[in-house]
Amino acid sequence: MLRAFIQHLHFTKTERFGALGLAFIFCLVYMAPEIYHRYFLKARKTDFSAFQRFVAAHAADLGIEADSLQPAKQPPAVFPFDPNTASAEDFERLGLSEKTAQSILNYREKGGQFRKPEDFQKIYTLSIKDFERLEPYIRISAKQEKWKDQEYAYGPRPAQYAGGGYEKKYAPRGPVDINRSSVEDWVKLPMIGEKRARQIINFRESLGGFLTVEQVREVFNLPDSVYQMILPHLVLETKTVHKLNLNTATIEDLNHHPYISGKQAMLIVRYREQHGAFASVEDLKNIIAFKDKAWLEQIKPYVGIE
Amino acid sequence: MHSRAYPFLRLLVPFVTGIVLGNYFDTPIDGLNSILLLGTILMIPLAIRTYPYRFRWLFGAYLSIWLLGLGYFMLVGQDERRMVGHFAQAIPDATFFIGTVYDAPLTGARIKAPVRVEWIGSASDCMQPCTGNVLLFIKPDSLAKTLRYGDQVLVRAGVRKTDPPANPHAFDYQRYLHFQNVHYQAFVKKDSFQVLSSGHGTLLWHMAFAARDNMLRVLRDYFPQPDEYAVASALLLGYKEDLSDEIRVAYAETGSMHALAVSGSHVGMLYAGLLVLVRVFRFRGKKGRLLELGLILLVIWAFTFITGATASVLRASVMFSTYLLGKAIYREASAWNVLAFSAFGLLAYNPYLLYDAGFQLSYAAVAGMVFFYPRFYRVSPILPKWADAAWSVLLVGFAAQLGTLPLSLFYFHQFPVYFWLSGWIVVLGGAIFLWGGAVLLVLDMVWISGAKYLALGLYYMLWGMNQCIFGIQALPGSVIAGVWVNMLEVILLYACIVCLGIWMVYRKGIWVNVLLVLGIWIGLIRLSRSVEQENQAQLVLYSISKGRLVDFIDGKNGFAWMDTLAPKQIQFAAQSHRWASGLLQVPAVLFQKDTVIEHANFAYRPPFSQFFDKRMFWLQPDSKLPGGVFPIDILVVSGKPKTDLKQWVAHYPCRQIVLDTRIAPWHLEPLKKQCLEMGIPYHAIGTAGAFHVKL
Repeated sequence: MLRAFIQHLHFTKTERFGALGLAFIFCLVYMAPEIYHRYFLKARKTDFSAFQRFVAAHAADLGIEADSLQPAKQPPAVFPFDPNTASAEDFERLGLSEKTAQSILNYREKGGQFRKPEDFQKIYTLSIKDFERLEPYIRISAKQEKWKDQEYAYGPRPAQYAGGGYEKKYAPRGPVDINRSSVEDWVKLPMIGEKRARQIINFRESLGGFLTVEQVREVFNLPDSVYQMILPHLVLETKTVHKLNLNTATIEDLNHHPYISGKQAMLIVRYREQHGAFASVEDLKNIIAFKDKAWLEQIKPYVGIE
Repeated sequence: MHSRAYPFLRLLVPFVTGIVLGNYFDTPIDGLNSILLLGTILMIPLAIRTYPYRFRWLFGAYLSIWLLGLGYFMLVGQDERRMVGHFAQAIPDATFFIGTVYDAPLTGARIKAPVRVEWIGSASDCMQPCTGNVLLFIKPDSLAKTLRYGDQVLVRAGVRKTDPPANPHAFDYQRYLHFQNVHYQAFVKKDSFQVLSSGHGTLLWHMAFAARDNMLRVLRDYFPQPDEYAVASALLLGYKEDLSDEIRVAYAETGSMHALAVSGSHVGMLYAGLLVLVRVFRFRGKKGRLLELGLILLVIWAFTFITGATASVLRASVMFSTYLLGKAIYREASAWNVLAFSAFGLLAYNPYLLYDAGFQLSYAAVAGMVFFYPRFYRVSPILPKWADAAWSVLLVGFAAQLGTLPLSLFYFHQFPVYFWLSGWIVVLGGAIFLWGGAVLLVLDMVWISGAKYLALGLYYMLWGMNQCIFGIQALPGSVIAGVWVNMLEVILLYACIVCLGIWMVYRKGIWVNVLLVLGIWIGLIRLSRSVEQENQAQLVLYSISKGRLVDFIDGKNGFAWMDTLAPKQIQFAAQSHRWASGLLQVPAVLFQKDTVIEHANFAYRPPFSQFFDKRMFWLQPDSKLPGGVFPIDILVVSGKPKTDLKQWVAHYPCRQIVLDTRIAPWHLEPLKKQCLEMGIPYHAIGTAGAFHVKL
């Protein structure tokens, strides 16, 4: 193998001179452009004095002050940046106006966060053209990206909620199992404080357990806006229902259930006293006053005979 | 290496020459098909005869001429504009047309769908049958996104010819489309099209695209991060649509783009893996062998169709198929013959492939590998197994680079210095991912939690691979960019490489001399180009939609004047031309009204500028008419002037008027008319492309 390689390298004397000559010419030809540039190139320089007189005459004609001129600015640089942490100078270097830079900072101070590049468009003073130009350079730190898949219904927090203990509460903590969670779990959700959490849990106890996530909406005094806000975090993983015993419950017990009114409770107990124990849940239908089939369906999962 | 030992090579050369001639002359020859047909009949007696020694060349010559004619005929016949009943004449009055989508639509800023037109007319109930291809550009709304291969659509849009490049040396999309057999385009606005029916076209393609879409969906589930998903889909399926520009550039600059373009190497790895599997199952006997062959061929071709049958995959699949078939008949086929046969077959199927960059590059790469790798390997020392594998990868990469270097310099104008480093990473990563990915897709159907763990592992591997590529890209001197070579230099470079090869085989010193002579020739070409560039003076007003970019090129220095533009816009419009003119870095300055610019040969004092001896006046909408007369050379109209153009010319007599892209199209016509009336030549950048003057 090595021998073959050595054979390759064998050149006869004439071949050697030929190769040498050619190699020399080769080097010359490849160095020529640089030599030309250094020694043979004549630098060209235009004389602009005539031009300057021309411009001055024109300015005089129009009555313009020719001296309020500044040197030209460089076009804005583009570089990777994180809209959550970049400074005002960074934004101005990227070609944004002072006004836009300031509005971005204001947004951030109020608690606004850019979770994905598209969020940067939310700034009103940012033109579409600038957004399109800068979008490929937006780099949002990975920590925020983890929540990329979750859609948040709220935008920048109003100033009154910024700072203080609210910061902890508004950090999302993942899904809440509506049937099992304690007060602490509920409190972690946005806009839910101790009071509301207790209300929800009380409602749950009275119900005997949630069967669907939508039932959370029915909690007393829970505004629909808050419900919408916490909805993405709610999951239903345990479906245990504590049923009311139709045969042993008192009127108070029955009334306590959110779906059963006092009157209905009284009718049930009255019927039971008159006709004896319920044999099955279907017997409720026999109570003439209970004409509303929908209500019966609603109540069915929560009542039993045991 | 004797040409007679490679029959298909001898057939390929005249055939390719015919194709090249056909593309160059682009005129059909009447009755060529009948001549060729007669020719085949005549060939029979000629083939049977025994020739005296003097005339032994006759049959070969005859066959070569016949193949030349065939190549010419096939290329010219391929052109869709020559189809009977082409819609070209109907275009001026046509507003509606019906066609079928014949290839998977591409996503992007606009959805691009090629359509075979069947009916065209001025009203949706008054259409006549026709033929021809049109490329639709549709805004991606919810309806457009559902467009699929095989859909028949009714479109209301104007059909126009494709446009030549708007800027000098810019990517010639028109030419590219010509080689996709598309010469007309239509921009479809919102609510201007509807799908009439689906399911046309071949079932095979439907199944292939459906399979691909399904796999893409699966990949998207397992790899939510965009960069890793994009690389996964490119590596596994050859789907390049979702690659971000950043990733594309990083892979291109490190010389690993081939991995993402599902080249033949993937088919090779697939084959190697299949061999292993087959050995496990151990088919025996003649029937077993046939089953083995059938199975391997089936998998290879299924893979080909699922990845969209790009040229490089087709070439590799044809090559492997012929090699396997050859083996089955117990006759080893030499690599060159198989290569030539696959090239011949592919070109017979679509002669336009000859001009496809991917086709050219993949054949160049394989030729380089087939020729140089064994020779490099033979002279390298003996290494332990693991080092040997790594060394082989290096040598293969080097051999492939030798094959593709001239072409890739011609197309991409850059040389990836660390290609050997990225080669290792990409080959390793590619192989692991190809097999891991295939296993993942299978697991997804049977055992999801297992698939999830595998996906996690693969994700980290992909992430690691991407980071390595970015890291290599960031190394100093990783790319030599701005290299410009013309076609002659490409041919000479290939001649050099061939010389190198001949020297390796015949070991005669004379070939080194020939190599040096060729090198000197190339050097002289570059010298003359360099001298020309040192003395050049160019003014270029680029065509950029809603923006201005002006290059003042003074020797090898340049100076650019621009509005705030996205770097991508600048690169697309100006990069190639700047490289072609020998400029690597161009300092730029913003277009602003009250600034002064002073350079060696350029001065700007608003509203005039002077470049060498050319004086220009930049007319803005808020410019004021002067009292006196100020003669200039070029008047640049940037936005519709408030007063009549003739008045402006009265005060600023000029020899050339340029209307830039800030003028709305409906204002152009009256302005053009005024220029004609004044007898001053005008140039509208929006319609005619960049304004380019060599001073």
